Amino acid sequence: MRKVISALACAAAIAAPLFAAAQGTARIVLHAPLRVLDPVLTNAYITRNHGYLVYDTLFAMDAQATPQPEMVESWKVSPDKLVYSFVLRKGLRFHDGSPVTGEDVIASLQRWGQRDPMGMRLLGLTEKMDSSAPDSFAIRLKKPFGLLIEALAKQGSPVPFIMPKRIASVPASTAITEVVGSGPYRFVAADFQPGVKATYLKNTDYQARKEPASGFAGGKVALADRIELVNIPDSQTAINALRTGEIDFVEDVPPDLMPQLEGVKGVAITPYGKNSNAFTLRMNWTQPPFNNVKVRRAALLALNQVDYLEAQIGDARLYQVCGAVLTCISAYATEDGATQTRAPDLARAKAALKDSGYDGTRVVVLHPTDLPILNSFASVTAQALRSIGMNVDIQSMDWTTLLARRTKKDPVDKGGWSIFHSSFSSLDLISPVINPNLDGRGDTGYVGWSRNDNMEALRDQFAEESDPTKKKILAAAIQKLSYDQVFFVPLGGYSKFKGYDGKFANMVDAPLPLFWAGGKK
Amino acid sequence: MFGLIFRRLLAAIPIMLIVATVVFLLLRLAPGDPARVIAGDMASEEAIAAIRADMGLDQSVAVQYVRWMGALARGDLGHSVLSRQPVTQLISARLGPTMSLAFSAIALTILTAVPLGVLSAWRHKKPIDRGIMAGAVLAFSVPAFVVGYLLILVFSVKLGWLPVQGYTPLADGLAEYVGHLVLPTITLATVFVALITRITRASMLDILGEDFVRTARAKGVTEKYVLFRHALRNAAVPIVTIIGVAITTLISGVVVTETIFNISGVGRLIVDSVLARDYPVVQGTILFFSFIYVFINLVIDMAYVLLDPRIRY
Repeated sequence: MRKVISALACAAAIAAPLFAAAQGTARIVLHAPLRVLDPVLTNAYITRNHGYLVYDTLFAMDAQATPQPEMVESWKVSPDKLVYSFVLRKGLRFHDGSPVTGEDVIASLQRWGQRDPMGMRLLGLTEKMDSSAPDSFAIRLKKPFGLLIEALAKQGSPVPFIMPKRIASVPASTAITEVVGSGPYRFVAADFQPGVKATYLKNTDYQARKEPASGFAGGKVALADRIELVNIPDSQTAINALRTGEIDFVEDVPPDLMPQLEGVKGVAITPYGKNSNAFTLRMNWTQPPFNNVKVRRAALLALNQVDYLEAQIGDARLYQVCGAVLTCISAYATEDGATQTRAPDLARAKAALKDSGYDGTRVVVLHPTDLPILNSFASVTAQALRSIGMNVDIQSMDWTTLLARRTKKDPVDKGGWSIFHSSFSSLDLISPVINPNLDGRGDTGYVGWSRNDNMEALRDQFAEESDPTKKKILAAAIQKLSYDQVFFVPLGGYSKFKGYDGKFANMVDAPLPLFWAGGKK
Repeated sequence: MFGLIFRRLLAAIPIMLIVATVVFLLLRLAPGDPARVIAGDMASEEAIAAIRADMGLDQSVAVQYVRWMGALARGDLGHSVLSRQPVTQLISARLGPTMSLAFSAIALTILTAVPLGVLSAWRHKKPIDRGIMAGAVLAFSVPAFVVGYLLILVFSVKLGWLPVQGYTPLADGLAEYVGHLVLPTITLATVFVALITRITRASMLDILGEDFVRTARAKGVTEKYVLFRHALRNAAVPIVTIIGVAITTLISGVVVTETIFNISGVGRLIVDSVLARDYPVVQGTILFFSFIYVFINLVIDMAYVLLDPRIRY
């Protein structure tokens, strides 16, 4: 028997290296299966991450959140701030070998502008986009747009990626059929297995900028010759595979599994930055009881961020109490108006609820059971609202059902809803223009249908303003109005952590997984 | 025999039509919208409506049904609404892992469970019988994810002998292929070994108490011959039935094991597709499963005839 075991051990020892990743190939595990490849059709984060491998952008935010030219060589703005003229870098080529032209850029921006809130504003203010030479293009505005360069450098989903005109010419509601970008990696269509595996090869023709990488900006020097994006749905399995060297990178290491990687030789765990993600609570403004602003204010007084963060994250080193409606990574972050960032005054909340005329209407809290990152929130909200005398009904469902359910504007007894929670990449909340929770358009806006013309006016002013000081004043006014009307409730920020081996030790620091080299040596 | 096969295949057509219709209607009745899944969390209603129109989901259920059945009649299961790939291609890409896992698990089950069941029945109420039964109860009671994680911890993480996850096709090398199948096969087979050991033991005990067995022993027939030629063959019908059920379960419902070991099989395909409301993939996969069920039941019925000449259809 001992001989048999020894023989098995020898055979396994010989076979073991076969299971490790090959040299030059990096196997990465991202947070979700990749099935939709069109980064404009969907704003799913997994497709955005895929997009950063394949596509390039005109501008990009550096580590200080300042837009820097990426595909653009130079640009100028007319004195009346109505004409922006851009020249593209020399030698930019798509993966199919064709040169990147101004026409490609215009088609890409027009398609992106059909889906992205910032892009819609840009197109709405644009009189014309034209290209007078292959390597240049111009955007001619009807009136000044202070966020134009920020819009072109937008790093949140959907990102204004540049693709060939022949591909970008299809409507934004129709999926593109080819993945051809000009970014640091080339997508291998023949190897793509939806939801299972995607392969990318280093784009050897890519001419990285000379500047060192900083945030999303600077030179994008690929870290691997070949990247295999493998979907591992079970986090424990992904962590085990990272420990044994079968994979090289895990995008999202859950807090409860971090101890398993601590001390593992050759494996590091680092955050994407403080507050890379943010939790939110959104109420339905169209149905009782939250169609009454006094009830919304009473509910806000009952909530406590720490309860949510402790229940969900559980480690104070990994989360941050933050009352800023634009998240605490925003340049405009303030804590003004936030009450949920400290221990709640339940007596005051109860008095406010009584004063609101709340009549015991059922509050339906939607609970997604298949999203672990939001699993605790419905219970915490229910407990807080019950503690001030509200009638709360938690309804559990899968996320897909929740997405459909929350579009219903019916009363709760006819399939409607009152509250749902979300987890956002902070990048999607940092500006009033893109933060969906600050939408004041009512019926045509973001679910919850908050209606407030003053908010829309403030957002318009913010979009058109280019003076940073004035923008800060506008952002403060937006925050004040948001809390006064309870557009939504920020539930704090948390840091997502990535786990990786030596192949990604020199990875650029960014709020997302970007697989190119950073400035470290 | 050929008449049986022909009649069964003919009978399968209305069954599959009913399955197709029921699945189609159930999916349309279920809440959720693939256009919303594709568009993402923050998409506007206009964007979602445009995607829905592009996919043809804005048409009436009746129109969608007629279109789908028309395509089905041409052998076209449609395209995934998410990835836009043909459903047949998605299923065929997942068949290799599923079939490899199912057949390795069933082979391990038969090779282990049947001898253990025979041994247990032969040594009825002896310590070895009690030991096997205790092991069977334990194996039947421990959830697959516990077995899987324990095996990974010991053989992959601690000893480093076998990979944690993934599937490698046979074409990429025998060592990789087998190496990736060992742990999931054991995980998957554990419960079936327990089940079939108990079924084999119970069937064998019934048969070993029959007069013809006593007669055979009285005539001096060797114990091995009695056990394997007389008793086991007569006890085989219920065992084969359970093995057939096990095969269909292994092909369609091993999502937990596939998830733990990251094996992208058909089970995961259907669960992921249900969660994403990828209607054509769910419809196509369930139709495929129903065909597999019909086929395996046909094989089992044929096996009955071979095992027991008294059975006629």
